[in-house]
Amino acid sequence: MSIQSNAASVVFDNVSKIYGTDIVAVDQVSFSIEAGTLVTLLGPSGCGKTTTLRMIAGLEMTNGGRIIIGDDDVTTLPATDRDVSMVFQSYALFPHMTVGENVAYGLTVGNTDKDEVHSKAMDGLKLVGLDGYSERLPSELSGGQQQRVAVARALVLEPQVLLFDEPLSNLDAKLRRKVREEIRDIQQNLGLTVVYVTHDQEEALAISDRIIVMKNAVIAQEGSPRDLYEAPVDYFVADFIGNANLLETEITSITNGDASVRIGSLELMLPSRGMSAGVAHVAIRPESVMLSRDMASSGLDGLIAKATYLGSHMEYTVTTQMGELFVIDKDVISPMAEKISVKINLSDRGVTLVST
Amino acid sequence: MNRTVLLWLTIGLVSFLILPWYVIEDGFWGLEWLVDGYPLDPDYGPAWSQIMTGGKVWLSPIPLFLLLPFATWGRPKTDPLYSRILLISGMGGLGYILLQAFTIGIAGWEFLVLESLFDPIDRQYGMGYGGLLVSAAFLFMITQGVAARGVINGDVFVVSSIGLISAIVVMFIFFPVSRILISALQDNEGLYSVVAFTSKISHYKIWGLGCLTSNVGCGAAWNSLFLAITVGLTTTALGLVFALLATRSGFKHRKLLRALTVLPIITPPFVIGLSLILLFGVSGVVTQFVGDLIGVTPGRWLYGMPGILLAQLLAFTPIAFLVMIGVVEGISPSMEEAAQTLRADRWRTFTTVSLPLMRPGLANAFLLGFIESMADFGNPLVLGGDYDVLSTEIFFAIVGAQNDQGMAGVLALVLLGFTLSAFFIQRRWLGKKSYTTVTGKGDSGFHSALPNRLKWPIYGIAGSWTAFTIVIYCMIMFGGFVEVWGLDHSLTFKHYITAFSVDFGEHGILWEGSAWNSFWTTITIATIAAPLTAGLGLLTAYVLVRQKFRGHDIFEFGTMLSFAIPGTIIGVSYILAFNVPPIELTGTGAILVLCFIFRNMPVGVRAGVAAMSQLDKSLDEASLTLGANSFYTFRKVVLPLLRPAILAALVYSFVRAMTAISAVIFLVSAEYDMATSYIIGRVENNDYGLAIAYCSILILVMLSAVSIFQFLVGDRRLGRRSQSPAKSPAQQSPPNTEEKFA
Repeated sequence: MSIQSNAASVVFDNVSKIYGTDIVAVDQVSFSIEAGTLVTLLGPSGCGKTTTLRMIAGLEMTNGGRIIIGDDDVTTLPATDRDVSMVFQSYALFPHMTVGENVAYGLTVGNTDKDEVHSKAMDGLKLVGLDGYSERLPSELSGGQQQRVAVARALVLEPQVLLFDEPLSNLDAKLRRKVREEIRDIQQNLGLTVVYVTHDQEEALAISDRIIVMKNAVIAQEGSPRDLYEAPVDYFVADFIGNANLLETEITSITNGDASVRIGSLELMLPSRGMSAGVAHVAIRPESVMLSRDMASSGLDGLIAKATYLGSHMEYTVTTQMGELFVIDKDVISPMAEKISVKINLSDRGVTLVST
Repeated sequence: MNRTVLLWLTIGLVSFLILPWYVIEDGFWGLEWLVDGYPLDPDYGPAWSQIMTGGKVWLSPIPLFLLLPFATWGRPKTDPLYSRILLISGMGGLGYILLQAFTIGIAGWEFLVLESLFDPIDRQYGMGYGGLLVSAAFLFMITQGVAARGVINGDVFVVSSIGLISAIVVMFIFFPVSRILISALQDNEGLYSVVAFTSKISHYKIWGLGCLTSNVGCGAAWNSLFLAITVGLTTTALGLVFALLATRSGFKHRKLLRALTVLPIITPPFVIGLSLILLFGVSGVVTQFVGDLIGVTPGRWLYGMPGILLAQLLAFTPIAFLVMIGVVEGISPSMEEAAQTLRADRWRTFTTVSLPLMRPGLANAFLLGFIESMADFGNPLVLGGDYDVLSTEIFFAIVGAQNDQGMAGVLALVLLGFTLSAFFIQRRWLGKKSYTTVTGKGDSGFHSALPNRLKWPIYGIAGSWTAFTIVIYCMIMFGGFVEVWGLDHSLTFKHYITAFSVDFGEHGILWEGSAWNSFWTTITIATIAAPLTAGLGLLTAYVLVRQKFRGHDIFEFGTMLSFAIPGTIIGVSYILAFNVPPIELTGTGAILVLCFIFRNMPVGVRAGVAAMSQLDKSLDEASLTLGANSFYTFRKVVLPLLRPAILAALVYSFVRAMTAISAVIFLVSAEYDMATSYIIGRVENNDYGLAIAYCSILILVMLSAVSIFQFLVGDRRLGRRSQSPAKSPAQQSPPNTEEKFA
């Protein structure tokens, strides 16, 4: 494979972006992305993730702070002069050029030798599994194929950083999984630095080395997928990543960093995460809730309000005195019927205190 | 040192040291100066010899400004001194050149104050190659300096484009037009007078409403306004009808339809008027036939409003068609299909989805029709009768017995008021909605067919209109072969022989016919002007649509201004402005080329703006992130996708240059006579046969030019599925002239 990686790190140092006079899209954001990793910017729409991505690309200029790619401060460089390429949500394939011409476009800009351009473009197409399509027009390809052309076009430039702006949002669910795995494979095989924007938390968990969750123009939490899922810092992150039952609770006492927490009739010991005694929130993952038909055992009382069979697992909605709980249970052999009473206990993992 | 800075610096220095500073009498391309006393001859000398030996000492500060940019040597772009040095050099140099050019003229000091303050000074002429290129070098120093300060992401190409366009628009539109508007404020002795101005602007010949109450004609302003609104609405409706017929009806002879509707565009403006006279005039064919049939003599109904209206409708409907077909075809089929799947029938789909998406097209078609009608000069001249309109009134104010420049200026002001109001109302109406319909995502699907209740009326209207047009053109073609129209209908070739006879002498071909001179001049001028117009127009459109910068709206207004100014005014103002230094152009071919460029540039701009607002911006951005700079992006991505707009701009500017009459009539000279002014001369001598014969030839030439352009530019490859798979996937993509203002 002749396509190499020139992966470089990306550093944001107190970067801000203000549109007009007072619309703050990105507010003094700092983070750093290691070379050769795939980092996802995740968040609801309007949180500033796409603006952040476009500032890495040089399509938007900062209103403050510095952006460093590799060893260079690129803050004032326009897109043309940055060694970064981008895959757009709409793919932005040039409709008047063939697939081959599209892929070769960035190479021809740089006065590369003609044969080299051709062979590199072919390598790029081969990498995304589209060799033999180079004479077609983009409009003659399916959505997934167009997507892959866009990836190939960005890849062949061997950029320091490769950017993806919600690249899968126009694809159907099955294809989305397939293409995201392909993107991940290519990233891993070539050791690329990739910054990936999405609002789909499952996609983010599946593909990333690290995830930066954004909310209202600032970073809400940054960490590995496991960190975010198992130890969300606040209500927002817990709710946004995966499913979580967020219950109000009371911390009765704290000893050596362990908090005694009371949830209804349950008493738990959880890491206090710097919180003090008083009212708090606890995030409970649906698979961490254990249901039991044995009403003699200890636990919270609940009533199965709804049971849904999903092939691989069951989903229950359980009403308790604390409110409704959403529960996932692997046991599909002997599922519980609706309208029966159950006892509820919590497992050790997947239950965390979160700040509000 | 920056390469672009170095390049312009070299150009500036070379121009200063080698090229003649002042304008050369024997024409722009004359090279006689090289062998005739150069470099010391005062007529041909470059700037340094003008300073040393020609006594033009006031030129001596210029080299200081030219050498200043060398101080940027070794400095990076980000150094604040770098941009400051370039700005001082550029602004200082350009400012000084303008200052000396406007204060020292052919009679020495230009202003009385200066004469009394200083000693008498030597005279100087208009600027030549040297002066203009050194000015250009200074201009680009400014843009380099501005770009280095990080304006527009520090994009040198875009900043330079804005600088260049602004400079030439100021020089060739604002400067001349301000000269004529100043004259509106002057009385006949050249003194400024508010009284004279107010009495003129409230004159009954402009605002009179006599036609409502009595037999007297209304004021020219009301007449023009009524005519323009009627023409705008009607041509828009007809244009839509033709566009729907061409794209949605499965009509078999689309190509024929296109050819037919292109015909009137390539027709000199007064020809339709002449042909209408041949049909409906007092001794016209139809008039006499109907008269014989029912035994009454029809009156002179054609001369006046009905005649002008008819002629303008015939002339401007194709423009509306060109605008509309681009929009109608550009609408994403998926949007219509979406509507249909939402249970809208074809009629509902058309009225709720297709038609609203055509809004930019409708608005532009109306605006074009309105302004064209306002500015039309040929038809009212031939058919006007006593129906006064503003454009002809301006002409008569200047060439007529009154010779009242002030009145012409006032009338021009009124006319400008109307056209600019229309422009702003149109912007309001379009608002900030998005009309993007071509995205970077390959789009497939079929346009929905016309609903039946539209289909038959459209066939009917388009059919009868086409038939009428064919008759008109048969009259034109036939008229050239007739001895004397209305009196002697025997066939003859004599008009063609007089105009276009060719002999083969011993030195090759002899162009003996009387029309050859003006014919070749017209072709040459039009060929030079067309690509320049299209290029400048599209560049402007790119800057307008894709770049955000301060003064964006003013910039847009400036580039569109010349379109709202009728040719008559442009002609007069060019004479006033360019007859004296610092820019002397009257009597040259260059003034004609410039006039055409700036008269027709708005068409290129509008075509480009329209097409570009349908292109997804992420296409540009993709190109930028792939390492292309904005110039490369413009060339490789934007321009190819704008082929229909390029075609429209090229064809339109070429054809307009060949058919224009109103401005041209002031600017032609013995050496550079244009076809239209030659023809008008023949018409004035009642030599209708030769005039019509010449017109026929012009029409044929322009028709072939249109075909050649179409072939050269080629089709836009969008790769949408075609409803008839046997044909090529990309159908004839039409010129596309609608637009969105956001």
